[in-house]
Amino acid sequence: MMRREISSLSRSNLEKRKKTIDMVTRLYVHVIKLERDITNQEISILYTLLIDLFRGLRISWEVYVREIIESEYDYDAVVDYLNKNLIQIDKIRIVLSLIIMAKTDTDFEISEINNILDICNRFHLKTDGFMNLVNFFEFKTKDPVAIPFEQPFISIFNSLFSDYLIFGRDAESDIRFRDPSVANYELLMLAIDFYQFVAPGLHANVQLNGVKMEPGQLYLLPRDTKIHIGNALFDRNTLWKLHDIRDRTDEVPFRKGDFDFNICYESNRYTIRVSSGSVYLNGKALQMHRDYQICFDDTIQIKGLSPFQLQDVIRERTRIGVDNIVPNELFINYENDYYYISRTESSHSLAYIEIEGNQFFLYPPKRGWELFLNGRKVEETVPLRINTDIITINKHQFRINTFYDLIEIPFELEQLSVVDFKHYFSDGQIALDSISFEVRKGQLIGIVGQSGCGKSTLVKAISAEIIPTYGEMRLDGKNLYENITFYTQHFGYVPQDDLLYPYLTVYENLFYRGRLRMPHISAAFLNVKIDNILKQTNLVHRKNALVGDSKKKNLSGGERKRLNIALELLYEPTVIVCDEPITGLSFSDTQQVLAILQSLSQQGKIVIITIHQPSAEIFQSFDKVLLMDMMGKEVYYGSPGDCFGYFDEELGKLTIQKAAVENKKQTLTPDYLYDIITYPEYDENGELIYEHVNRTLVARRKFSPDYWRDKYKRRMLFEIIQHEPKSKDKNITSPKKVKYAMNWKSLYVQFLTFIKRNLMMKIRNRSNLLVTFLEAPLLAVIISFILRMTPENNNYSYYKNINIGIYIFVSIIVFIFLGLSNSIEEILDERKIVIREKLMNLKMSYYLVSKLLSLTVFSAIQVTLYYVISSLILGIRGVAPVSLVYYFLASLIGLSLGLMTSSFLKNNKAIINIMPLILIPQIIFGGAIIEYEKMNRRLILITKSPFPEVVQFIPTRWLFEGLTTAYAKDNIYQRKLHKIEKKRLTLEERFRDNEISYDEYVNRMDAMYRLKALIAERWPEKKYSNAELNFSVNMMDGRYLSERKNVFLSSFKTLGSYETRSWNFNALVLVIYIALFYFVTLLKLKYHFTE
Amino acid sequence: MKKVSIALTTLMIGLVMFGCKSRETGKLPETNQPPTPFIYAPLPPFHKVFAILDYLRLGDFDQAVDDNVYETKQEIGRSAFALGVLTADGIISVRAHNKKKIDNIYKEVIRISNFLGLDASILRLANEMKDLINSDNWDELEKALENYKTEVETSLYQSQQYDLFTMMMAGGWVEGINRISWFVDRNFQTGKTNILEQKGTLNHLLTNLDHVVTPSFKDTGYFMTTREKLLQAKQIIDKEQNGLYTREQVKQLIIITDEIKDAYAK
Repeated sequence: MMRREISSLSRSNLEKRKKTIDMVTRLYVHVIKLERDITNQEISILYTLLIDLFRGLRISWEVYVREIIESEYDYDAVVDYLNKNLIQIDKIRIVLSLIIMAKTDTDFEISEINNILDICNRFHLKTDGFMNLVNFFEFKTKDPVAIPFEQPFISIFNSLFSDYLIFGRDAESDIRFRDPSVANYELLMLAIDFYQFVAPGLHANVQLNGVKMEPGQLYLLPRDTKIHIGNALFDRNTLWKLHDIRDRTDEVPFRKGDFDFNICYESNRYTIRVSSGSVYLNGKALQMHRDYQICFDDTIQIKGLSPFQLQDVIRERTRIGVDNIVPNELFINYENDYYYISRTESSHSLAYIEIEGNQFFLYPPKRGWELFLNGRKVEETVPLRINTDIITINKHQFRINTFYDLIEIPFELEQLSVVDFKHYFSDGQIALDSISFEVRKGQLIGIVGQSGCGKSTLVKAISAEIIPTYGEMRLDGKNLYENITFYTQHFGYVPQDDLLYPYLTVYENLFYRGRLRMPHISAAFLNVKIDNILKQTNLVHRKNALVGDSKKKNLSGGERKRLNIALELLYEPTVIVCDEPITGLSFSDTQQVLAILQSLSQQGKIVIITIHQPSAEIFQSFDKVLLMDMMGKEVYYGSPGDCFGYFDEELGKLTIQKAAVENKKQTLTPDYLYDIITYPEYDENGELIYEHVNRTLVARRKFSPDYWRDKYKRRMLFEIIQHEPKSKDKNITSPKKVKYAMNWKSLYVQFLTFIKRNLMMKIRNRSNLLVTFLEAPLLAVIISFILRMTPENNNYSYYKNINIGIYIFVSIIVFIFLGLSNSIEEILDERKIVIREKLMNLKMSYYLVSKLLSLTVFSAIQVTLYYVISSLILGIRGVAPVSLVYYFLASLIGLSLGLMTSSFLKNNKAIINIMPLILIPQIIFGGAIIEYEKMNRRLILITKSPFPEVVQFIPTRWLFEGLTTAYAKDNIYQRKLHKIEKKRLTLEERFRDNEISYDEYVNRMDAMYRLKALIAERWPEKKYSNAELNFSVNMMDGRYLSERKNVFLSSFKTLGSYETRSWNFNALVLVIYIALFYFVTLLKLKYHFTE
Repeated sequence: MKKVSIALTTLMIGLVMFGCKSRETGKLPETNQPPTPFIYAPLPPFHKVFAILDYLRLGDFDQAVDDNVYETKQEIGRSAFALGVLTADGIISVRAHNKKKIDNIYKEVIRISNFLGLDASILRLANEMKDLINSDNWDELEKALENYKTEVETSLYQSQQYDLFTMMMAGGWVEGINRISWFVDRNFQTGKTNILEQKGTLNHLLTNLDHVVTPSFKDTGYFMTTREKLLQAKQIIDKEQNGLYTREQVKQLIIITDEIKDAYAK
């Protein structure tokens, strides 16, 4: 074992380790305290050391260091202790780090050098090598630096530090080799600040830049390092990466049309797992779905491609998956109604694209195919511009993007015009006030304005999520609202909030959305597409990461936003609208998101984003900006450059702090625009003037929102008058409608995807899953135990238990409650996603049925667990089928009621508050707590009715009656008797009709009597039924038979002249209720489900 | 004593006439299945018999019915017999105005009716009886019980289950004789023992038992015991020509009928 894990230490060793760490910390603190000025670099080195030292210890280094700084201690004793207790390499490392810390800035101070040399001496280390290093830093010598030491390293078993990297054949090595010529311990590497040091082992055969390295020396690696170990080569960059990822876990996907495998690593242990394709490890073909360990001298080869090693994977990690290496050739393929691009030719290839440098050439297609480039038939090789030219194949239009993906263009949109959008909120307040602007293909538009000025409303209107009160949107002159369903399919909308499923991975979020929107394409093609989109949005490395919810966000803000964009890219939108895509993101995340959006606009898409406070750089990156003021007023629309000059007139009118505002204009700071738009009014004394707005005192503005709107409108009018009327662009053609027919297979895929997504979400939510499955059995135990009534001095008997009726009722309430609580937040939680998917024309009926079905899976499990446990405790027998069906129906009632409520309410608090309102009537009107005859007579609408009519609308009434009557009259004993009784009646009839003789009649009757006795013996009534329920139901049956009209708790029901048993009739009524709740929910989702 | 004897004789004649009249007026429906070997022999209604007990001031009805409801194994023959026993007990409980007992009895009656396949016709009455019990309408309740008995008999007769009909009759009259004997024994006066002179009833009962053909209970022990013990009872009753019995004979009748009941309850 080369390295000792902290977890494996005994208590005394752990204490010793802690003490040594304490001493090392004291040493560093002492050295740093000696200096006059402590630099950032020193702190950085110390910080790295402390992090490494305290790793695995449950001690806060921060608290520790504070204590040491404030305390006094004997420095000499510290050094002596370390000398006795540290291994050689750790001592060297400490001295090296002190030198590197000391060399900061320009020179070494003599006192510092002396101090270090003193430590060297006391550690019994030779000073020559360290002085070489000092000279190297001070005099910038170019000679390689080697620090000699007494014994070659053989082990770091007792090292205090955990960041050494060991290269060798030993199984414990960090960087493992397979080659027998490589020593078990070949090389040790350590890094301090920006410097890497290596020390070869005793039997090492390692070369640094072609020269064999000598054991007993610690080498400082030069910039152009190349280290050879066996047949493996490591450059400095790779060594750094190995050092950086030493504790990380990652998965590197290699996926193309003809191969699919992953290389996974965990703390520098590498494995390969092949899912498809021919992949070889050291020349041997790898089996599918099996993990193979890979060493650093192994060779991996994909059939037909050059071999590579792990070093290549590590070096190219950021590129693998992103794969932006320019290929030499591309092929357009057609398979199963789907067109795609590959880098290799196959039997599905129909056209060839040659790539020379940055030039692309499209060759004429294979015989039998026709291909058009920008409307012209391709009959000879023609140049092709990616992101620009349109390739038409079989009426489908495509463009090739920078990621070499064939992007279908459902229609080519040249111009999007928003014409006089005016929108009012439901309270009559104006949200958008005459907004007009035009966007051309490939433009990136920024909608800029303060919070609450109407930016989000505008983008919602553009993405057709809301329809403005007035105004229209034109796509190449065609009114969008005339065919909104078709056009909006090609609009991507990324709202401010995430539309992600937290318990699904990045890939699953994309996959399920893709399957739902494009059920006609196969899963394999969809995977290719997802991989491409992941590349575009730089999420390849996060492909299998769980998205996480609001509390546990596994993805960063930028990654979440990119995933939201990726979801919209699945269907190749022509227009992408993003609401505040970079708000709250870090600088690097902002850069990445913007780069993606710019790349999309370069692909010919129209990209419109809102932004609250853009930096100057971002502001200038827009092709055009739309400035907005409060109450949805349009202040300016045009190029960002011209924007600053637009306000010159107003700038001249400023009084107070004019110079500061002018300065912002000079530096093109977007704040200038806000400053001038919201510039306050001052009185002659330079005091702010206030006014009341909505009962709040606010500073009056010099230029009101109306002022800005009017100014812009005047300008528009001027432009309209000055300019020649635009002739219709001849190039603009009507959007071509390409619609994939949704055949039964596509519908099936869509439906199945909905179900899978829902189930996956439920299963992944572990805590919810646990509660769901524990709740029912626990309730079963509690309820049954309480209701297991045993008469005094008697054994328990189900037959005599007078609480079975209560048990039935309580169980029904339990299942309604469980169903309700399982479902009541379902639609609410996904509200925004549902709205988005509705705009994508996904079938809401499928969505709802899938919700119901996936929830019913859990309900069925709950019902089974509950019934099994409660029936065991209460000794209930012979009614399992009807109990399960009825509890399941109760659960379904709860589920459908919950889903219906969830579709109507918009916030979680309202949901919690409404639960009692749903449940309490179910309890009161259920028929078990209060007799209907004893209810307030005023509830009765028809005087002849014995009880309030309202109870007929309460599902629990039907559930309770159905199950109680079934327990009394449909238990196994009764069922068997009933069967014989039916036969007896038939026999009687036959005898009466002289079909059989008296002797035969008597004999057959006798046989039936015997059978009845057998039934009574096999299924004794006193085991399989309950006296109390039997009696109650018998009484009600008696009343029914006397009055011949439906009576509560009778086991008979009549509908006209048709008579049936209550448990069947009631089940039908309940199914009707469920269907009714379902249809109300569906209608709500389909026709009235908006923000 | 003479007066009592005259009154009893008059009552008995009336009783027999009532019984015969019921057959003549065809209270029980006739079936359209004529050639049966079964001879229907109606017996006097219980409430008339128990009315005599009242008249003779022999009735301490509340003591007459056991707190435990008579129960048998669930077999058709036994159940039919039990139904008869319980009907008789029911009428006594009604006379005792004991709600709890009647409640227990009629729950059991409904249970047995259900097993015998008679519930559809019985439940209506059961519901009616429940209302009568709740409203303490004892006279009507007694009538309802008697109606119930008739209804069951009708139902069995209509469905040509004559053997069940006989078993039920047997149960009723075994319990009837048992309870009347018990009453007589409790307040023994030789002059009042002629209420036990139910020769016609026993004759009819035995005749009907002779016609039972259903193998599943014809060959059973309890059935044999019934015949055998009823013959013994007949011998005791037939023995005295004056219709007056000794206390020993009365006790014998109790033992005999108890033995019959026990044979079914095993």
